[in-house]
Amino acid sequence: MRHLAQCLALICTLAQTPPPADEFTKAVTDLASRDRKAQDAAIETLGRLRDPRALVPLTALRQGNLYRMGERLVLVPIEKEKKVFLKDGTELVPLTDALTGKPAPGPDGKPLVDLSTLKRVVATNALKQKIAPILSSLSLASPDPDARKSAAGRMGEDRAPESIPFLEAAMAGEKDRWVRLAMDEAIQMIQLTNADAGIREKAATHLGDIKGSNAVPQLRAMVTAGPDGKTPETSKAVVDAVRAAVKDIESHEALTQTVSTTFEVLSLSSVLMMIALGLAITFGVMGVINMAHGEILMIGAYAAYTVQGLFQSLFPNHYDWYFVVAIPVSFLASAAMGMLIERTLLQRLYGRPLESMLATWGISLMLQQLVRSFYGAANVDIKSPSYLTGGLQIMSGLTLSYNRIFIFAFSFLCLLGLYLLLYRSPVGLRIRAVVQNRSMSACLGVATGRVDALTFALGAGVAGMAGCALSQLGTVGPGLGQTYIVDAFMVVVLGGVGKLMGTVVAAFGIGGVNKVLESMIGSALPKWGPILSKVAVLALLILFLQKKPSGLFAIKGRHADA
Amino acid sequence: MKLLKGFGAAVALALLASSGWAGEQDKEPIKVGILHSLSGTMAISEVSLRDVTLMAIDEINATGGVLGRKVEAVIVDPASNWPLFAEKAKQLLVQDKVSVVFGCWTSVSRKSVLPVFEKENGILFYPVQYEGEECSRSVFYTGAAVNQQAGPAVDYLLSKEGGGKKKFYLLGTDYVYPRTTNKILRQQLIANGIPETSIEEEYTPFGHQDYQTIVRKIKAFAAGGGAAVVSTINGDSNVPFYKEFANQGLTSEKCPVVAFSVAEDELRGMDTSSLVGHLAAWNYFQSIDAPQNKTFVKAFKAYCEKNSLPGGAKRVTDDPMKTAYVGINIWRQACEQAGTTNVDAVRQAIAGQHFLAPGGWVQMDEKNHHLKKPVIIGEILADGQFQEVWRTKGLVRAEPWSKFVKDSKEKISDWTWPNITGNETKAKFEVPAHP
Amino acid sequence: MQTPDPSTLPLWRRLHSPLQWAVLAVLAFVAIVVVPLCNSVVPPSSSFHLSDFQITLFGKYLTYAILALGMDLLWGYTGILSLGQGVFFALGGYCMGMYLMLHIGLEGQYHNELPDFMVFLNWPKLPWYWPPFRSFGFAIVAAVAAPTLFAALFGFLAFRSRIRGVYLSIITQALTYALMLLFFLNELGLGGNNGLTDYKTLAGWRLKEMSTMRGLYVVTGIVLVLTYILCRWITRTKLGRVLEAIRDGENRVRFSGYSPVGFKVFVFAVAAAVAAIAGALYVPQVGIINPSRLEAAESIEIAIWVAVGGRGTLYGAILGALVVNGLKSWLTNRYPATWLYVLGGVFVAVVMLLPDGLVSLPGRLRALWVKFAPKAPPVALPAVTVAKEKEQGA
Repeated sequence: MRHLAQCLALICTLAQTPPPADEFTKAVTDLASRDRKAQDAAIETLGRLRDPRALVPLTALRQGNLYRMGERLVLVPIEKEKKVFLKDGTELVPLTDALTGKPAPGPDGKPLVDLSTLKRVVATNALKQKIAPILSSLSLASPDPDARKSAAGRMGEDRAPESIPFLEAAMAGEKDRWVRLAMDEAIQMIQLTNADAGIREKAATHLGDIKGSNAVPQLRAMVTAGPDGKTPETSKAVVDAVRAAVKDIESHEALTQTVSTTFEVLSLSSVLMMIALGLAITFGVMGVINMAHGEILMIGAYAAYTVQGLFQSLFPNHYDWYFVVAIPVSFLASAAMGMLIERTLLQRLYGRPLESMLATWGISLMLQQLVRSFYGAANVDIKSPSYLTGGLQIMSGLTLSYNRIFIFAFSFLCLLGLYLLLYRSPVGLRIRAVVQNRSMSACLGVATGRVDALTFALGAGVAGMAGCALSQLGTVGPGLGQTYIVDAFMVVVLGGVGKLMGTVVAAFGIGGVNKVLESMIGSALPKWGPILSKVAVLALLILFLQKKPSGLFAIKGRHADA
Repeated sequence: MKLLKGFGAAVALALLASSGWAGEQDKEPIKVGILHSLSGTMAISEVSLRDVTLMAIDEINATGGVLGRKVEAVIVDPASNWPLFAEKAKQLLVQDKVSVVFGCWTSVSRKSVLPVFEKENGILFYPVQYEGEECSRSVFYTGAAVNQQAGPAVDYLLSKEGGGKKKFYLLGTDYVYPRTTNKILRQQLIANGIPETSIEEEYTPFGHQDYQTIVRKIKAFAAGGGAAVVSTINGDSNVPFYKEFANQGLTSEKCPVVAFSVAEDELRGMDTSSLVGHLAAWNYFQSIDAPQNKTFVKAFKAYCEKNSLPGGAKRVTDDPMKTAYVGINIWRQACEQAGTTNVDAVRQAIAGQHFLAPGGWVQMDEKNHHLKKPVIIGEILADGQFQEVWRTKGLVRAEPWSKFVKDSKEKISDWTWPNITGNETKAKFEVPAHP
Repeated sequence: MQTPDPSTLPLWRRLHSPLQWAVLAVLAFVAIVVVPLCNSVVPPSSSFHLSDFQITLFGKYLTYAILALGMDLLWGYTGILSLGQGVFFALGGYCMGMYLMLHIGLEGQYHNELPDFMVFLNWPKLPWYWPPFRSFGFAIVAAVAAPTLFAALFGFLAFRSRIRGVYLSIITQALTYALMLLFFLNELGLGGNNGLTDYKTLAGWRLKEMSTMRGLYVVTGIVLVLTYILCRWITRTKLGRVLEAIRDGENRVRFSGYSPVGFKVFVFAVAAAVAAIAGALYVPQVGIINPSRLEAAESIEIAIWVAVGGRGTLYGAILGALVVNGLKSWLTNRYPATWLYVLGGVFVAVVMLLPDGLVSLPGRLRALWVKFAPKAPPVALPAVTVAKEKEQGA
């Protein structure tokens, strides 16, 4: 999306300078022609002209938001929020001219046009395949590095020798090293098909040096013996070079694998920690297992959705900021709900943990239905802000997604915050006192009732933030809470009561064991992997509690009834 | 004494509860049952089907009803609980005496109500794509069988137009529909010259959220191009899957995902910007450019707005909703033709009915209780709609028993004389020789 | 009422007074004899007629009542809130389901000796653990024994290491969840998500026939009465006293020289056996068993029935199961869009306002009446505790 917007801006500046060449205008107009031949000719012209202005209409044609209004070509915005939905089911949209990039009013002069009066320009698949190489060569100059990278990758797979000059030119001016690497890889992949054995050998060796993992299947195919016992590659020197390159790349892939498994463990564990932190706090202080904990997460996620909606309608230009606002809002929304539950229900059920559990379960049923009534039974979409889409490439063939990095960092920020609050503040002192000995604290003048309420609100608030953060990874719907609840319980039970450290260790233990088992079982019994690893984790948990029935970090004391 | 009160109250309450269901025996309106989960895990999909069925009933009543009588919906909530489906089905047929039932989403819910419909002689319209291997006398399957959805989609991927894919990763949620579909697809791929080594198959549990490992495997599988993912991932797992897919840098150009359970209604709950270019195979898309479709879409949006349903005019239509709409309208036509709502008469009249559906003409098969319809492949667009990229010529007849499954090949599904069977290999009656 | 020394009485008198036995007999007669007659003999035009639908529905409720009895023994009397009763219910159900599957014979979709889903997954023959289930006797024994042994093992592991309270609840919930995932696996050979369904005959009787369903109803009713008597017997013996003592102060029991582990394992296993019997009776009546019975919510609901009816009173558990399920059936029909509010609200309200369940309602009302009635002599509010009820009942 960002990419398209930038292109639009580019177009605007371009459009102001020279008057559009007639050939270009005609070609773009012909894109919408009903005559196949005219369309083909238009594509050919655009490919020949290599005019960067073609990027916008071509992308729109591919994405399906290029429309015909009478004889004029227009772009319809993709975002729902820019459209207006009338009560009778009509959809009104603002338009931009595909050639000039300027707003295009309807035939009646109004800025909004009924969508059903427009005709979508349909690209057949054959046409799209012709567009693809043009788009990729145009994308080589795109301001978005991801677009440049994938354009280079596509050109490498097409293996058209005529792409080489463009790739080399683009590579010379490229600043991003990973994009440069992708371009280099693409060039070498094309060179592998060169008639000159020397060039092929050099290309293979070079691919080995830069660990071009995309080239592995091609390299392997070159040296795999056919039914006649001969390899497709005839030159001995090239075969050796290719074999060496494959070996090089494979050993690099083993490293990539290790790093990415580690990252997966960290990511899964931080998710587990995030969802369990809030629960651990309330359980530690009040001894109450909150069955509605999952629904509190859900409230956090829906709060983020609501904030997103508000930003879309009120501040569409600062849309990316919604997430920054959503985090505190979900904290507050969930904390308020937690406070409400504590004050109305749990307070009266003090000392009856099992009943509290059942009562909160009743609450969870009601909260689920509440969300269904207000937001509908279907899932809602939360769009990641632009700074959380895509990923960070750290080595050849390994990209870590920003939203997972974010959750990892965010979970530790939350942990730090909680640590400071619990261990370095007067409120925390009181909370810890109540955890250790409730009646003694009460005797010493700690208002245990207030501490309970605050703690519960705090735990719920943290859960709300977790829900907000998780909305970047998974589904947001009425069933969200149920997805995570059992995992959260397990972490808390394994971690034990009253120590943040327990939750951290438990989350990382469960996450790590789960991932390691998943790949171990997955390699032995492919169909059983994800399921059996979960079952095994539960079995291990039960066995582990044999040794430590109150979890990893139980509070030590001399009382018999914990 | 307490004991007495306890038991007495229990029995009294139970009796009270049951007597409450009888209701008045008003003969005037025709009752139809709606058996879709409004709570629980499946509500996410099924609520939209309830909405569109109610809209269709409003339309029918506004245009004269059925046989001059109004149609009245009896809505129950089976709460995504499979045994409860059977209980509610029985209740609709026995207590409420409905003329027809529209309902179910998952195969297991259909399997669970099937004995009830067969025993009580009811009619169920089932609007969702399914795995086939069934053809009941009591059910009309308006959703797609495997050869009306997955089969053509794979043919398309194999074709030059679809990119001539050479490697296939079959990924699904672990239940019957994906298993069956993939079993059939595997045979189909092998028949098309794809070696076993180029086919991967993997299943995840329901509600699976962590697709990191699997996407990494797909990435390795897809390196070098020519690969496609055939996804039968169900429900909530789609969002984390597609997100992870995009985040690890896989694109639809490099390795398209063709899905059979992702339609416009599911896309409402996803961030579609990362999904552009991925494929889905259905028999209808909201974007189909036909006048009756524009009317249908507009009417549905207006209906949601009027009844202040969540989402209002931003709601969308999709294939299962269209099939639900087709089902109730075909039932109406059949009642009019039979001149009665009698189940046996209507069942006969349903066979062969034509209907101008939002996506174009469809026809109820004369014999096998399935709907004949076109198969369309669509690409996901950035606005959550699909763009048609390919469609079959004419209508495709459903094959409830797949020719790729050993034990099913020979089966006949033909409810007309002399066959009168849904799962036998020979006709029930012999045709007497003409003297 | 004068309470004679219980230990001198014969066993049957120790369980109930003659009046209570009479009431029990009448209720049992109504449930087991009159209700089925209302279906088979009373003509449909009569207002006393019960439809086929109602009979099968009541049959299902009765299996839930059996399940609730086990739960009450566990939670109400021993203080163990297990959120894994659904596991044993499902295991019993699966054993019965396997028997029923094998007796579909050639009537299945594929006309094959193998169950349909195995034909479909290309399994050449039954896995080793299936064939014994051809025998009805084996199926019944397995349906009870397998869950009981499993419960005893699990209980031993859990109680030996003194996992209790909410920890035990969470562990049992995790167990339920793990088994649900496992049963979803098609490779396990139990039908995966679809489970076992499409049964045709039970010990030679056609399940389509109403007479079979009535028979099943009657059997369920008899089993309910027998289970009630068994549970009553357990709670009225010395064993029952120990269980209650464990509930009220486990450490004191331990300090008094008892080892609670054995008692807890015993009651856990008995509750599992009761749940398994309920499951085995449930499956032929509803016609399907699949992993959704292992969802966490299903097991939590069992605890809710008992809480609503009244913990620590066996008839309260039965009452709770009947009322909650009746209410649920009625609400999902009458208020399909909003019933969860009502049900959730009822749960919260009962836990908050009627901690001893519906059975304490008459006592509460009487207490209120005593409090607010004019000219009533000042009487201390009768504390409605479990122990008090026991004495009144005796």
